[in-house]
Parts: sequence; structure tokens; C-alpha cells
Amino acid sequence: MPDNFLNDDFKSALIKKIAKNSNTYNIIKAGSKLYFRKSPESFKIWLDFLFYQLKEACKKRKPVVWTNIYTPSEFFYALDLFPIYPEVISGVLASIGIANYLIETSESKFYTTDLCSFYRVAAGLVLKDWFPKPDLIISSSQLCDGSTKFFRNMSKYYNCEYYLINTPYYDDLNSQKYLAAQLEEIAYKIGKVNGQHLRNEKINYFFNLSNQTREYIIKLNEFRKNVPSPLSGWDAMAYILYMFFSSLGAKKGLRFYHTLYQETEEKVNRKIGVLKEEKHRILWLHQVRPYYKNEIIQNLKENKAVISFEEVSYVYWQALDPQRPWESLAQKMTSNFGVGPIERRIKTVYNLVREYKIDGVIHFSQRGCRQSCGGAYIIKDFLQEKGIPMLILDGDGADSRNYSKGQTRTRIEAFLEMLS
Amino acid sequence: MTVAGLDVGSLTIKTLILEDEKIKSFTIIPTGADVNKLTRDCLEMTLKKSGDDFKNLSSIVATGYGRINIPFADKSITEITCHALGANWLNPETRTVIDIGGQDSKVISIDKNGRVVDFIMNDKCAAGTGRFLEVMAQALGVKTEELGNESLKSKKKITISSMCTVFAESEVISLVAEGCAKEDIIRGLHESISNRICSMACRLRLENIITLTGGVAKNTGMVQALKKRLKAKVYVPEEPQIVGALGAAIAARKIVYSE
Repeated sequence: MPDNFLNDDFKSALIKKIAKNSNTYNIIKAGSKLYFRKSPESFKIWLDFLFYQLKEACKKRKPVVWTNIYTPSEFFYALDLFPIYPEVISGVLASIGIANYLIETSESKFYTTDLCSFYRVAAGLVLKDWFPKPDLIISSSQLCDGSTKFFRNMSKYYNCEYYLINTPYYDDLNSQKYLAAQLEEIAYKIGKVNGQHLRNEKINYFFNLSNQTREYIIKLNEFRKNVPSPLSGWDAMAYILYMFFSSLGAKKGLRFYHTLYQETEEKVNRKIGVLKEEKHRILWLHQVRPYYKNEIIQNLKENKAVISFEEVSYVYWQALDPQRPWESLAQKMTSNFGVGPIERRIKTVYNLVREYKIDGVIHFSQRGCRQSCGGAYIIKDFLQEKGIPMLILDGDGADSRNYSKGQTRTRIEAFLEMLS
Repeated sequence: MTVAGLDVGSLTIKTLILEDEKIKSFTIIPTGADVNKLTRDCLEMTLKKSGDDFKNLSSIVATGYGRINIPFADKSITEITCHALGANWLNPETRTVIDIGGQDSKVISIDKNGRVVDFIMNDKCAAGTGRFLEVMAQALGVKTEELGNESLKSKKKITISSMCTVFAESEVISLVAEGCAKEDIIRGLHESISNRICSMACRLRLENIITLTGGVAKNTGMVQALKKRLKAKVYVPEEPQIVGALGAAIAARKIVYSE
């Protein structure tokens, strides 16, 4: 969308009216169904889920809670809350070319450029009043440090309750107890307000949905070990990732992963790869990729390189146990290999390198994600010792002003020449 | 066998003709808006010098930021690979290449065959590049090519704290206004760049011999500052600016052999 289109108060007010009307998403959904009629079924399910989320965020048939990606979505579904992930919405907005306008809006209201660009986009969306307000905010301190301050600020802006789940550093019994107690306390407080107490049948239902979905993700990941790669990591870090974070515990999530699993199985059986000729298998590190228009995937394709897997899709948690809901959710959070000592992440990355027959690793150091970028050189040193080359690609996931086409191309091409 | 290497950089275009083991001729011209035409003109000049004809070139490889815009090249290869090949050809003992070009600076670890083992580049700002020095030379009213000799006259150490090109320019102007000698300011600038390059280089395993390439390696003051800071065996080719084009020509020769 051209920038000058939005630099107009009238148009901005019009967008506000349209964006906050639930009927808008019914219309867009119908249009997109037609437009994407030839796309894979899984993609269409994602679109359906996305517009359903946006519609529900407007309609508010259930209390809408804003949260961040590593707070387990099952927790919200079981409590009859409707989770919305502002940072994930920001990724979608970046992909349709609207992020920079919103970033500039938030920066003009004193949001520092040191804040993660995904949250600057979300702040712009809030300041423009283009998104329905939340009823509640619940976030965790897991991995992302920018989110805590962002959500605190949002709770003041909207005058709504904010619960911060403090994730401990170590993955041990004490940490799990500490986390479980926090989750239980939050659930109790919410239950007192909206009368939605966590009942066993609900826990069983949502945990089972999540566990079944988890099984399909594991099977899907197993397929991705095949040569040629049946699924591009570039897609896996886009709409598939959206589902990975927000649909576990939802019926649509199960349907999505079941369908994606079937589609991938067919590709594997027919030996259809992402590329006709696969020369380099790449492992992509860190949770995100750039979502604005960029040439990275073309650069990789031209040089016959495919992202065979990405660390963010790795299933690190055990199946949830409905008999021990709080401990089980807590265990899911502490078992994330990104939390705790760097050796934990290194071990997982090295296993992925071997299992997915990786030739080279690209670590996308998204500027806002300090927790991840900080360890990049330690991982690089380790992998180099093992003879696995790694490229640290500095960049930004949502702010295209930090992207240089030529410089990025040179880094990627030189890395692939090195692999040759 | 006669091949050509083209290095289309952000500030200069370099073309080179390689025949067997001999560099027959090379040309360096400033980059302009029509990169394709300028590169072709530059190549024609080089061919004229060596007495060769375009039709007789067995292969042409382009490198540098403009490499993808050259339709008459058989292949494009990144300047990282080309600098590694060129430096290895000039001095096979080279294990590290530090290339300071117009737009970026790179540190490249290479093996005994000139293969890239690892590399690192500067981030998106102009600090530590040829462009940074050009802007500073302008602020000081000195020609870029005179910076090296000027800095060697320095008797007093001045520290330039800003690395942002815009901030450093105003810092330089302030120092001039305070009456600081130009040569001392230039030395301060060289030391500041060399600190930045070395902190970047230290992220790789620096091994001797270190070959300096790129236009900035022609600056004697800069080379001295780097030598002092690196405390390593440093080799500066006779014409460091053409190492990328030489590497491209070597790559062109490899293409012919592989066919």
C-alpha cells in the first residue's frame, strides 16, 4: 500500500471504522477464499482462522486477552478466553506493507527505536485505534524482554488488568512449581471475575486437542527430514508459525495441522521438493524472518538452497497431562530450549543439524530479540568446531528501513559460495 | 587463455585481464549512474591496454555490488569469494583478508587453497569504510589520496570518539575550529577506523598472513594504524584495489577449466 494513501486523517478514520467492524472480516474472508482458491487447503484454513480471530476480537463474544507467543494458548482456550497475539498480527501487517507507517506512528509518540519493531507496529495500531481493545492482558517474560514493558504500557492505555507470568531461568521442579502457582492464581482471579472456572471436562477437551495437534506437528517435522525438503521453512515461519503459536488447543488448529500433514505426506510420497534441484539444506535459527517485501528467499532459491527446517518449529514439550494442568503447562514453558543456559539451545540446534542433514545454518539476528542474538556467536563457534558453517544475518523482522537488499544478498550468496 | 574479471564497486569499477599466470592490464574508474555502460567502457580500456579483443575473452566474471547488472558477464560471484581468490593468488600464505572498500569492510578467513572458511562484514552504517574517509577528507579540505601521507606527519594523538559518519564529521569540524592540526585529526580518524575493523576482525580466528585489500589499503597511514593494532604479519599488495577483479578473473579461468 503506498504510504501517501494512509497519510490522510479522513482515510485513517475510515480504516478505523472498517477495521473494527466484525462484518469486514466476513467480507474479506469471502473475497480471499475466491482469490486463494488454488492455494493449498492448509493455507485456506489459516486464512479462515485469521479472519475468525479478527472477527471475534471485534465481536467479543468471549473476553479478548492480548498475550505473547510463548504463553501457552491452551491456557486461554481452557479458560474460555479469546487470545490475540499483537506481535503475530504485526508480522501479517508487515507482509501487506503497512508496518512502516505504523512504526512511524508509534515513534512519533515516543516509542523508542530500541523497542522490538513488532511491538512498535502493534503500538502504532493501538495509537491509530485500528484494532479493538483487549479486555485483559496476560503475557509471560519467556524469551522476549520487550513484550513485558509493551503490555504494561498497553494495560495503562486501555485501563485493563495485566498479569505477567514470570518464567524462571532454570528448568527444574522448583521453577515448575513457581510457574504452576502463578498460572493457577491467574486462573482463579479470572474465574472470580467472569465466572469461568477451570473444570476437568474443559481441561480434558482442550488439552486433548492440543496433544493431538502436537502429534501431527511431530509427524510433519519427521517428514521434513526427507530429501528433497517437502516444505519450505520460509512458509513455516509465516502462516504455519501463526498457527503454531496461537492454535494449540483450538479445533481449527488440529484441522490445520492434520491437513498440512496430509499435504506434506503426499509430497514426500511423490518425491516433490520445494526446489527442483536441492543443493544446500539450511537450518534457520531464531523465531522469525523478515515479513516485509524482501529478496532473501529468491537469493536462496537462485543458489539452490532451501530452508529445510527452522528451530522455532521444533516440538520441545511433552504432551500435556489433564490430571496435572498447571504443572503440565508450567513444564511446557520451562522445557523451551531457548530458556536457560545457552548449552541447552546449542544441544538442540546440533541435533537438528544432524537430523535434518543440514549443510549450513543461518541465524537471523532480529534486532529486537536480544535474548536470541546474544548467543549467536557462541552457537557459531560450537558449530564451526563441528564443521558446520553458520552465517549471522543481522536484520529486522518488521521494520524494512533496516533492510539493505544488496548487503543482504552479498552475505547470503557469499555464505552459499562457501558451502559450495 | 585470456579471461576478464570485473569488480563493480560502490565507488569505483575495476576491470582486469588475466592471461595464464600474468596480469596483462587493469583499469580503475569511478562508478557512475550507468553501471553497465561504464563497466563495458572500463573493460574496453583494459582490453586496449593489453592489446586484446572482447571476442577473444574465454570467460568474464563480475563481482562487487553491481555484479548482477552486467549482462555481458558469464557469471557473477560475490566479492568475498573473489577477494579470497585474489589474495591467495598474490600471496598463498594469506589466511586472513581484510578488505576495506567504499561501502563496506569485510574480514575473510581463508584456507591454503583460497577457499572462504568464514567471513564477517560491517553492519549497515558507513563507519569503517572508504566512504567514511572520503567524507572526512572533504571536511578537512584534503584529497582522499593525501590522507595517508598527511597522517604520517602527526606528532600528537587525538581520539575521535564518534563512529557515525555524520557525528564524526561534526567532531572533525569542531577539532579544526579548536585549532587541532589536520595531520593529528587524520591520524585519529585512521586509528578510530582501525579499532573498529579490528574489533570486528577479532570475532574471527585471525591467522597470519593478513592481506589488506580494497582502496583504503592504499592509504599508508591507515595501513600503519592497522598494523599497530593487529600486531600481525600484514601484507599489502602493490595494487590492493584490484584484488577483487583479480579474484573474479581467477574464477573466470576456473569456469573455463571446468567446462
